[in-house]
Amino acid sequence: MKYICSLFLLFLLAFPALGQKPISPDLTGMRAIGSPADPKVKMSWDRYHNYEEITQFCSNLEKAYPNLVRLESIGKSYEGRDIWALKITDYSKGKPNEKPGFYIDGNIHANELQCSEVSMYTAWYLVENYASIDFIKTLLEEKIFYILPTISPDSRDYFIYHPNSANSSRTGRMPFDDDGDGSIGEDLFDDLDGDGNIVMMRRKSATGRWKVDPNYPQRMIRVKPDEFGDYELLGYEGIDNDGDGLVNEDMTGTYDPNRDWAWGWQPDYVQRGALFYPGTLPETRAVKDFIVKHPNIAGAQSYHNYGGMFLRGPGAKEDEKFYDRSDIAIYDVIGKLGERWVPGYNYFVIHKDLYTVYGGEIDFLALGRGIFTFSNELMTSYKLFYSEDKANRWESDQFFEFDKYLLFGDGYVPWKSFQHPQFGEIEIGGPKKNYIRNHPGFLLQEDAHRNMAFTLYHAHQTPQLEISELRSESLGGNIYELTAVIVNKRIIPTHSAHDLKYKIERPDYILIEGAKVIAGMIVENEDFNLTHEQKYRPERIAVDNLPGMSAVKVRWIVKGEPKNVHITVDSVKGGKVKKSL
Amino acid sequence: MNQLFILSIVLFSLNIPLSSQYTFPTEKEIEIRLKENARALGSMASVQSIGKSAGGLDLWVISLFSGSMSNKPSLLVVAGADGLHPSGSIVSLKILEELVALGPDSLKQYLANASLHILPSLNPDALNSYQDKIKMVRRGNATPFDDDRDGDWGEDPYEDLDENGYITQMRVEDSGGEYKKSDWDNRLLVKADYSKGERGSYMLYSEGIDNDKDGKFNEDGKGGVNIDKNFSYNYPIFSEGAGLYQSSEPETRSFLEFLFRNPEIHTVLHIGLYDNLTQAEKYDEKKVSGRIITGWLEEDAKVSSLLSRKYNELLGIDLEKIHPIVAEEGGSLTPTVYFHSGRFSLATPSWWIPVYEGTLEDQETSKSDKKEKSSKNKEYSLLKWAESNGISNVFFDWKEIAHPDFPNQRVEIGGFFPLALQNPPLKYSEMAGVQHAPYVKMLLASMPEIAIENLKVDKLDKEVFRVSIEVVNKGGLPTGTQLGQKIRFVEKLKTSLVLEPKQQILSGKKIDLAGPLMPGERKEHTWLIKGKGVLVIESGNASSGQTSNSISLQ
Repeated sequence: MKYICSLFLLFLLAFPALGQKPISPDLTGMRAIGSPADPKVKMSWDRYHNYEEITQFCSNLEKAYPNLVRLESIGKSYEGRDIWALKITDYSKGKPNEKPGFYIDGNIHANELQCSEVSMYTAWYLVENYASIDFIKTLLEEKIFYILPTISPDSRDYFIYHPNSANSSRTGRMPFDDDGDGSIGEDLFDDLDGDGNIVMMRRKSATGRWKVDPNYPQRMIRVKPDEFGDYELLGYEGIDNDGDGLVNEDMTGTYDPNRDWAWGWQPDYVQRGALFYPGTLPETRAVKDFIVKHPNIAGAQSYHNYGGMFLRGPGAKEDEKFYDRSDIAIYDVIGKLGERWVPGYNYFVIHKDLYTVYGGEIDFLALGRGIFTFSNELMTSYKLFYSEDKANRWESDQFFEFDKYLLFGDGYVPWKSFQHPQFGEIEIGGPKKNYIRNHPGFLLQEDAHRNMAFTLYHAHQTPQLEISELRSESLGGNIYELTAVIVNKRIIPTHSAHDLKYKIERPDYILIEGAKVIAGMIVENEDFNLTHEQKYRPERIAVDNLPGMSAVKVRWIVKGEPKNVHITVDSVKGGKVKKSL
Repeated sequence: MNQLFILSIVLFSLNIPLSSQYTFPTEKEIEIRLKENARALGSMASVQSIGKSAGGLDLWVISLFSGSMSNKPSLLVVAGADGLHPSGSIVSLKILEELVALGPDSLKQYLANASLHILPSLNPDALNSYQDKIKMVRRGNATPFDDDRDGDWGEDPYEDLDENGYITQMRVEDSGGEYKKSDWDNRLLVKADYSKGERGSYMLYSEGIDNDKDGKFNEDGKGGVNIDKNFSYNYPIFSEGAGLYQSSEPETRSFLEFLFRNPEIHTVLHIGLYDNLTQAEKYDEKKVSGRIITGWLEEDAKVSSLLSRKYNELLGIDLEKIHPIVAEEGGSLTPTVYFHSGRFSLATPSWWIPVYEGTLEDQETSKSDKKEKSSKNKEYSLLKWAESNGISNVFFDWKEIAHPDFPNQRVEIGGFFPLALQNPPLKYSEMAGVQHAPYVKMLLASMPEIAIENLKVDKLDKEVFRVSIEVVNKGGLPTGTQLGQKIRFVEKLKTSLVLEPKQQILSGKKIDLAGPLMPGERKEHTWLIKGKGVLVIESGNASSGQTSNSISLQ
């Protein structure tokens, strides 16, 4: 009997909706608002992914949504890994390169892991919600996203699988001689205790200037200027491998891929981290080629960590002159909205509020190519207790408090003694490599979503063109006047003021087909009949710009009554739209 | 044989001897000549391609060395970066041939302490374009470019309206014109000076048609990026011929990769449209005190001054008697090599239009007028120089044509041979090569040479020794630039010890890294060593050679 009951139960479990139509989990009360209940590509957004997993994710996304995702390798990294670009749009609507494009990359600094997860979350969210959220559907019909989860794939895996600190392996993996002694990578970090984390070394010292924080034994605090402490700090875990009296002075690489870009590039003595010349690295070259090949990119985001910032250029004070008031006004709108949507984040200018950067990617995109670009610095100590930290980034004890009460000690390697070949009896301990800069798991998805929302707003505001009006009027004698009004329905213009000044991108064309054109002109002021005639190729009126939230009017004088006339607006950054009469 | 064959194809006119022609080699001819010369030198030379141009042509380099290239400084001669200066390629080839003509034994003495690389054309796409049917200035490589950035590519190219095979100039009679005939020679046009009550009577354009009816002539031709405007120092953003961005071109990157992958390159000599040899780089404290350095550092400027003085002496240059070349346009190779790569960087156009002495005396004008007129005199000097040397093809006389854009105006085509203001005919470039060979020899002979001298050992105890040495630069140039000290990729002067396992350093550094040593300068090192055995002391770096001494401590 028991046996039969069990069988029956099993039967019930196997066919829960016997006699009913199965309900999509998206429609039950199980779905949390804001998340797809039953995504085709299963992901956990509370962990980090290695390169192989990122590759797998990209490929899974393409397989699950062939009409929305195309995966392309834009080139190879120094060690030969493919740099992946997810090209996401509704491929059944229009041609992909004729839609305004939005570029997203992450992880240029390899230790800034979560940049890849936020990029991947964005790609995943877009395709998993395409069918259920109208806004997302329309967004993918109108725009194309180019999402590159990691542009430093070699070093990402190096960070994950080799001994590192939270700050190390910002570099890529190209070896070179850091200290100018003719040998390459001869004095690396040494993971003395073999736990994969490079932490700090301290030594008991009667003349030391540091002591242990009585509240948090992990924390070292500097003593007062007139006091001796108990410890001296000896830097990151390591030994002097080459006997030159310096510890860890020649690591592999230790350049900065974000100082390798071809705008205002400066050599190493001006801009630490720069390489031989702008574009020394295969990774930055591949991205530059990709950007140049996709001139439809009208907005861009390059994720970094940390500090909670929406950064815009310029990277250097002397480039302020390239930021026209009208361009700044657009950044201001997006940046200030972001401050509300992502609590704890501030809208900042790189050189003013962070530090000076020469040869950075943001400047290359914004000034070299005229693309409205933000760079979000993900993660901020604000997220720990949802409150402003009064102490600065280096003196705050909030990470220790958070570690003690919310992570139960998972954030730090406890101090332990070690016999060092050069320093003798020392202790090693300190933050684990994934603490401080990279989000703790339970904070990751929330921040990914909020930053994505900021970036989707930015993408949504790239130019959206429409021929709002097309009318014909007889002038008598078989001559007609044909007027078209083109509206840009979003705040970003087809050309930034900087772009216009230097003619980075060609003008927008308004083409007429199916009419015998006698003359063509731009209507500058309808009320006073002010027009500007274009003598050369009047059937293709060149308009310098289609500014945000405004309209441009063009007019043709044609012979014969216009029937079956087609107007095309062809804008590189604004896309192509058509209307017929 | 090959050379003659190729050169004969490019004869412009059979009436004029080849040597008086504006004739330039091709990339293929460069390859052939480099390989022929390398063959003549056997194991003392090698030829390699260090990369490809945008148009797929090779960037050939010949290297001359004795024994091995490692552990010795080297000199790199480069030419032809700017397509406006194809004569530089001839000069560099001639320098090579002069050195090869010394014969291996004689050449060896110059290569005992230094090697030489010669890269005759860094912009072979532009160089080869001078074999085209219609000759015009082509400064850029084969990268397509929308020069006027209007979205239409190549919509307004040049046209050879008078069908003489050259794109020259076009003057249009116009009472509102900006130009008038020059008083010096009525073939030349000068800008009318309205402040002096002068009136213009001509408009001046390049030869062609306004194909797109925008009022501009020939503003968008084949495109191309001028390699000598594509380098990172003072890069001229968005200007014509500069390319999309800094170092966007394969030629630029190949050159810089070669420079960085060969840290032994101590000095680069650029035969091109930049000149810091007739007039040295000057030290200016204001230019070196900011975060971004824009002037040569003090010690480096001294070297520039020395090398400039030697240059003017050796070539017999009198600055009063030559027309200097125009100032650089930004993105040039020469300052990039110094400021961004930290090497000594020298440049000369190698040929200048000789000042026509007669013209200056004629002037009874104020000083400022004189300056203005003398700059214009460059063209007049060229006409006079060509005349006195029997060069008949430097100027094409104005010839009237019917022009569709000016149906009611008199239009004439004429003017200078497209490259004549920057380049001489073949014979003179070859002469310049002959004149520059001794300068190259002087540079090779002056390369730094590191030696360890005054090795002393004091036995302080049975097992304890004080070892001291002096590292000295016996060459005629510093071991590197002062600026190079600031650049991580430029090797420091390294002095180090190799100990036996039982030996121990009690005092002194195992590895010492230092800045450059000036010629004749000495640097003392002292160590306290415990333990008997053989001690090896090594000193040097890539750009100044390596030396080592060993001593047995007993």
